[in-house]
Amino acid sequence: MSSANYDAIIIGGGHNGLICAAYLAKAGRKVLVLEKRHVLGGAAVSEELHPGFTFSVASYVVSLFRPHIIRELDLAKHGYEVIPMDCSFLPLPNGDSLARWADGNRSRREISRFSRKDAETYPEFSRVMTHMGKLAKAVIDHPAPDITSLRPAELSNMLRLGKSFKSLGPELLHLNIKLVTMSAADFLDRWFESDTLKAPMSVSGIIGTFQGVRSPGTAYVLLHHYMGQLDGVFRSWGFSKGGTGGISMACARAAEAFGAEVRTNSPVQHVLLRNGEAKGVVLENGDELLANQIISNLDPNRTYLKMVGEEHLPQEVANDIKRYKLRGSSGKVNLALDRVPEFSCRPGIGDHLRGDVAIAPSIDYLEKAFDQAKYGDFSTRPYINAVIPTLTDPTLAPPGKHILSCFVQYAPYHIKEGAENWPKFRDAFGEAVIDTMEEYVPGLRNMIIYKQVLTPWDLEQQMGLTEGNIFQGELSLEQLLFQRPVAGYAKYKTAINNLWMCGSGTHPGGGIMGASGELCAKTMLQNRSV
Amino acid sequence: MEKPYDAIIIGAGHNGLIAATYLGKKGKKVVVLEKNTFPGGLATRTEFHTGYRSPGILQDSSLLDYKVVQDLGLESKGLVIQNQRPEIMLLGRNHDEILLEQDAEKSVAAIARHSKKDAQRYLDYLQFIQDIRPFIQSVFSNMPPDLSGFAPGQVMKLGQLGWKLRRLGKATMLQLLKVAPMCVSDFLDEYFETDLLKSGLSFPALLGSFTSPRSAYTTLNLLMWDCRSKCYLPGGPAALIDSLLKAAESLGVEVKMDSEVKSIHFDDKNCVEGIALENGDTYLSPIVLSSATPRHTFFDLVPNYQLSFELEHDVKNYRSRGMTAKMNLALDRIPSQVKASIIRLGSDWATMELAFDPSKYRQIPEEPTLELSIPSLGDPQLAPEGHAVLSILAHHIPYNLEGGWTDAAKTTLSQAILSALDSYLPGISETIVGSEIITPQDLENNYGLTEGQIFHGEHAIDQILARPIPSCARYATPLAGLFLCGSGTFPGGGITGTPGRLAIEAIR
Repeated sequence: MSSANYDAIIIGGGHNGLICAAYLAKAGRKVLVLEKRHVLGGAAVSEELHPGFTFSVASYVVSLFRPHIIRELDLAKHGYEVIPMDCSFLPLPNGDSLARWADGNRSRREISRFSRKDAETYPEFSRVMTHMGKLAKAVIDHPAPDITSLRPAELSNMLRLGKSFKSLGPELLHLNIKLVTMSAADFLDRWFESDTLKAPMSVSGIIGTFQGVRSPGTAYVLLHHYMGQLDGVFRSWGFSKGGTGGISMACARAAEAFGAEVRTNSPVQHVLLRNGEAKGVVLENGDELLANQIISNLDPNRTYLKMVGEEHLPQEVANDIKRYKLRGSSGKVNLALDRVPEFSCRPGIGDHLRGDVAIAPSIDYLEKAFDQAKYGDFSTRPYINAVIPTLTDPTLAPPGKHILSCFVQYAPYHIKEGAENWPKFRDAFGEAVIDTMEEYVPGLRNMIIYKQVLTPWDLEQQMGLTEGNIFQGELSLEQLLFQRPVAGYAKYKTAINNLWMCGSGTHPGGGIMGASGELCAKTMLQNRSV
Repeated sequence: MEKPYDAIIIGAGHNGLIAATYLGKKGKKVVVLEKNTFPGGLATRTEFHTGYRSPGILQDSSLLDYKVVQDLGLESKGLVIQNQRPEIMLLGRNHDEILLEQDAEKSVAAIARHSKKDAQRYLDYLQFIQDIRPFIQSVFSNMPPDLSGFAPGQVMKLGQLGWKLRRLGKATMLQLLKVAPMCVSDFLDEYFETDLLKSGLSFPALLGSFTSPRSAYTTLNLLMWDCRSKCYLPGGPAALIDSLLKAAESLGVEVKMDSEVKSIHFDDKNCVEGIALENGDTYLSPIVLSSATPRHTFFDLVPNYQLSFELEHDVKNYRSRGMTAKMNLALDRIPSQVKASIIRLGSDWATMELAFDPSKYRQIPEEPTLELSIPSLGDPQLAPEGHAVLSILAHHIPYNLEGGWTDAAKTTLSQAILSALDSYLPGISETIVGSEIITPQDLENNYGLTEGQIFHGEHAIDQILARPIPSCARYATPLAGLFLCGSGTFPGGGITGTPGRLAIEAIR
């Protein structure tokens, strides 16, 4: 006899948790989502930080969201709307600039000012990468195969993967090996000669990782740029209407429409265990809630070490979780401005401001930014990816006012003074970012109405991202696929019976993809675990 | 018209000589053509100061493929080989030291003086190496798997490889898959806490690649070395060359010095038909094996029109950034602090990273990472009695130095090396009676190493799995009759002899 009130309780109302809830509710299960904050979304959250200004506080652009989830959960009906970004703009300190457009011909014309050869190669590069991106899709749309298992289902799963690799043909297969192992800078060197083109392209290899563009193993993240799918069109990035929280809210509404219960302001203190099995959760206010299955949307570190506790874990699992690397490396500076920030190298309020703006003038600039971080300092001249979402979605700010949202790397969680001392350096970090931006946007400082600086320490404190890692764990090869988060427990099931994980710390991990939440729910339903 | 040769081998380095001797053993008529006036390539003794000789560029002979020694009967030709790895001294500043001996118990005792925990963990580390050794050795001593084919036979080979991996046991297999892509600093941090031990153990992970301890995949380089390093040649790499020359000669292999190959010739069916020397001589053969670097082979020796776009593109993008300089010192006595013939000057991760950073911007590091050997301890031919030759490999010295390798730059490099050396071995400068500095540029000019890369191309995982490039990954090239047999082929550079041995298997 079960006294449980729910089939499943989900700890954490991030987008993955909400998607997981929606799938389970759609299948008729009784589901409860518990979010500790007053807002839903986790890192994909919109908040009105200053009257009239709605910020995508952390995660700020969308590309990898799985299109079939939108269909299956009918998210469009619940308000999911993504507006494609048209341009990737690179201002340069010498007064020049490079804008790459969704329109290939327009990009070619711009690139040819720096290298005619590169302009010719550029479409071919996109073609090859898009092709490889399709292969990656085969990987991210299924649970990771368990390579240690000899069970027929697992072997056939591996065979399926092998077949999609084989379909690449030998040349692309080798390119694939290079993608996984090379540095982003080296990989781009194979194709292009212009540093001005390579630098802004290389940065997609380092976002969210504690590596430099010259670090081996960063090339494959380049693929992410070509895997993005918006309405079936490859290689598109977009803004979510209402900020990235808009996506989370659509997921929450879908979940509720299917009958799931979603509670905010309900921080979970720990998972309730009976005889080594998860039976429910204990809230910080002392309430106990019981369920047949518990699903954690938190990162692996929090799930295992805080929600469960090391003493309840098999020793090997505890060891593996402790060596799971999170080391956050980025921060965020959100600014409310009294006008549109104009770039001196390309004045005016043109289309080039409607996409993302990269402060990445050269490979050496990026690498030097990383060098500082290696020794425990934030970069004084960091890589910045800035967006002005209000040009695309004016509802986010009062008329005439704008938001400049800056993703900043590197801001290592482990500064040499110790992570807990980050608050003392928060202002200096924010100033470094504004100083850097002001080199391209003269007078920026005088436009600022409101400013929010989020260091990795703040991301940890506010959003519960351990060590401020935006992907719930580094996306390095030894932490991917069957090893995410640890070998043997990479299929959403954890080492504790009836406890599951559905966050970015599971395969395929990272970004507003929704895949982890979806695959967790589908795995549970398929196994008849819920 | 002279009878054509069965095979021509370009370059009399150890891999070229090994390939030639294998062919000689099969009764083939073979000629080895060497551009220098002496054989041996990077394993050549040269006098750099009156009475003092350097043992060549490469100083590590512990990876030598024993199958080569057996197959070619090198011991009967005078090669002395000890079947244990030489002792390694990790030397820190302030007289810190750890002597890693063959006897694990003694090493453990030495480590325990720094950390009891590390001493215990060192045994775990050795056990892990022991556990994975059969797999790594088997991978790196056989023909590389064909990753492009998916022909039934190849799929089976890949399957066998997977099976060998599985046979390590689930825990060891998972551990290997987990750590191989890691950076060496994370990997060693999981085991140890003593900086000197960690930094000292990491050296093999960095040699010959454009990486620092924080670079992903460096653990794999460390494991590749640790699992294969198991012997010691008292006479150094040069002794290997001596015995190879004798073996080659006894089999009728011709080895010609001062014979720089100018070009490889092809017939009208695009098959190799021979080569021409710079001096105008020509040699005929349907088979040419090049132990020169891939880039030199394809871009300098093969006529342009033979290169397809893909081949040219791949060779051009084969990464071969020289990162190593060499310094030889003649000393009037044997340094008293020294307790082994191999010495790694250890520090900590931050210092090693700081030594790497400037090389990314084409600068000389202030304090280069140094690996020392005193070859004269094993090979008395190198220095007068009681004196010593100190041979130094300096890491992270860029080939493409900003401003070029001028005399002033050479002086800066020498001073950087000597000042680093002096901080570890105080007083050593007073014992120096002569010296020689060899920059990456010199390595290119004098030894034909593209960009001064001592391994004929960086040891990065994609360049090991399909070395040097996918279409040449199994020694045969897309050009009929042309084979590669040098360090630019699987399993890579250093004194192993495996490329020379396996290249022969590719010839049908």
